[in-house]
Amino acid sequence: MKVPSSERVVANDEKSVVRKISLIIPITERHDDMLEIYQDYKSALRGLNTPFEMIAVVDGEFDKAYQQLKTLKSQGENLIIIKHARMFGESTAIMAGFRISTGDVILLAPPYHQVDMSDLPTIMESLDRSDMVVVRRWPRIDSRLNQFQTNLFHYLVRPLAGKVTSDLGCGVRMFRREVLDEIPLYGDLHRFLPILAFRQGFKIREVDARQSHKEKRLRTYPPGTYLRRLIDLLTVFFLIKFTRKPLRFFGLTGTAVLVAGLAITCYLVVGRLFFHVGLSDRPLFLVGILFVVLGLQIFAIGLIGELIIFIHARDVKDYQIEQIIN
Amino acid sequence: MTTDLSIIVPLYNEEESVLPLYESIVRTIDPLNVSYEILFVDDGSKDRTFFKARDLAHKDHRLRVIRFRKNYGQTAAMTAGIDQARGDILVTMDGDLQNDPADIPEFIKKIRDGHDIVCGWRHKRQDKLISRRIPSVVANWIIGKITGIPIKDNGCSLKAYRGKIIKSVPLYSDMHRFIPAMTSLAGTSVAEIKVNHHPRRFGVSKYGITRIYKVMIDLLVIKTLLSFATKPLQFFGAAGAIALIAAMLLLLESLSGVFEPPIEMNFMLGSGALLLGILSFFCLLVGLLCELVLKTGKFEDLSHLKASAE
Repeated sequence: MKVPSSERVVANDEKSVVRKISLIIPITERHDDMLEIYQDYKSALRGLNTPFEMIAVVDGEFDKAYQQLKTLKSQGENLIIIKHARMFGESTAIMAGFRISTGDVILLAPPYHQVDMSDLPTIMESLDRSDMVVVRRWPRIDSRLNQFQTNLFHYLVRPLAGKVTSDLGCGVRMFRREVLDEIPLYGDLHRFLPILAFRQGFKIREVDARQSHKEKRLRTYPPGTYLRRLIDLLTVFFLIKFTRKPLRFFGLTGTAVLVAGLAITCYLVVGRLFFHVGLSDRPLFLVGILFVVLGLQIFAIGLIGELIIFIHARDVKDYQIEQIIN
Repeated sequence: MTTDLSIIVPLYNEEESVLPLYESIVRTIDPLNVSYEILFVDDGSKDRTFFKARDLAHKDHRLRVIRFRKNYGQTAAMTAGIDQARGDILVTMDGDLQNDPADIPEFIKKIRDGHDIVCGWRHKRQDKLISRRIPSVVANWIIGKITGIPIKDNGCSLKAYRGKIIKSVPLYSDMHRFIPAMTSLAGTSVAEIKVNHHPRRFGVSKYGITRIYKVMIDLLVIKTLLSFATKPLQFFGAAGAIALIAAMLLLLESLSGVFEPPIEMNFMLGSGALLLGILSFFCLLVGLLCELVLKTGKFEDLSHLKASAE
């Protein structure tokens, strides 16, 4: 239903003003010179005319970055440093920073040059009538191969999660404190925070920001990283399809596979019984049987999932209440 | 202070309907001399629905307004209303003025007569014939056949429930349509009465013909749940046993050629035996798992509800 834009403004009123921004920088394997990054972020935050704090979470043994941060601190810079004894992953680092942060708005930023931070005011302005602002690096100026990686990833995510944002790889995100209060991050979930937040009912906005000129060079990752990305996709799939209506999805898939298996088997059995085509030299027979077993298993998995949801439906809330009056 | 009656109305982009709806509910219920509350559930409306309801609620404390963060759908809105309701009798109705609050007293009477659920039947339905009424008749017939509870109009939102029972029924995704079927597990008594139905005055219909597919899939889910939910181990155990016996027979048959030359084994029967053997064990395992899930849940409570509600 179309609603005039002036009406929409009224409908989403009463968002409070930003009192304090907490910048959280999770420092993982990929990071640039921290002195540069720090100055870059700090001058951008100063331009916002809002109180802010800066929290750097060093996730593991990154000595150079850690030393640089300590130097900054000893020079009297107002900076909070958290140091993990080993690598726990970016999500854990973000949560560690979040736990000690005091701002009502959280700004996540990567420990490398990704977005031209002079666009920060635009980002903050967009937070005005939404709960989370996701940045899309645009226009892209880095190598075609990197852009291709981004596009491929989204091409795979979209059928699963719908189009919430078009740049999940961008680490600059600004959101209200409630978002992380309600969505605990673990594993590699930080990348999908906009999708999870959207499903939780938060209002997401996407803004374009110029890509940093320092992110130009070609990046490739070890094969393990790409494998992890694929597993990430499975995570999204699980969260979205399986946790809501398992039998709707698995029941349909299972039935389709089962029917295919039965069809193959029947076709071969009829051939054997009436047309004397020997089964022992038909590998297809094994495929048919495999499909029957597989189909039933998929269906059963869906059924068990559905049963669990059915049983716990009263405890799992399908909705988020914003406000109750009286 | 106890509340006798809660009236739950999900609203989605119904800014014109809020005031007339509120007024007609108050006009009907006030003479009944019961303590009641009205719950307006704003399902993430994009128009001024919430603000109109809020202004009314500031004047009348019997009106409570629940605001969703975004649009979650009608089942979620009804579930939220049911969860928050304080009344002994719960009445749900549509927010588009197509249901008539004047029917509510009749519903209350039926519940007091001892029925657990009273469903409305829009016997003179004011909707388009081809896109709404015919699919609805077909769908209701199928739902009745499959769930075994022949209700003429599952889609009618105007329903009344005994609070204790409806609060324990698992409601999720688009299940509000099947509440009578879901509660049949608890052995509830369902009644049906004719209600008025008005043509839509404001706004546009929120549904299209595409939801039929969803309804059918949900129906499949419910049918599966209803047949397995109470005794999964029995069902799967029986299926597994039959498969196992068949597997044994096939295996014997396939081995009959092994003992006399020329030694050969019937490949087809052997494979069949293998398949059925695997399936029988699989059935058993699934049955056990389902049983485990049920034991850890609160599902058992439901069957005792009927007794406690009386």
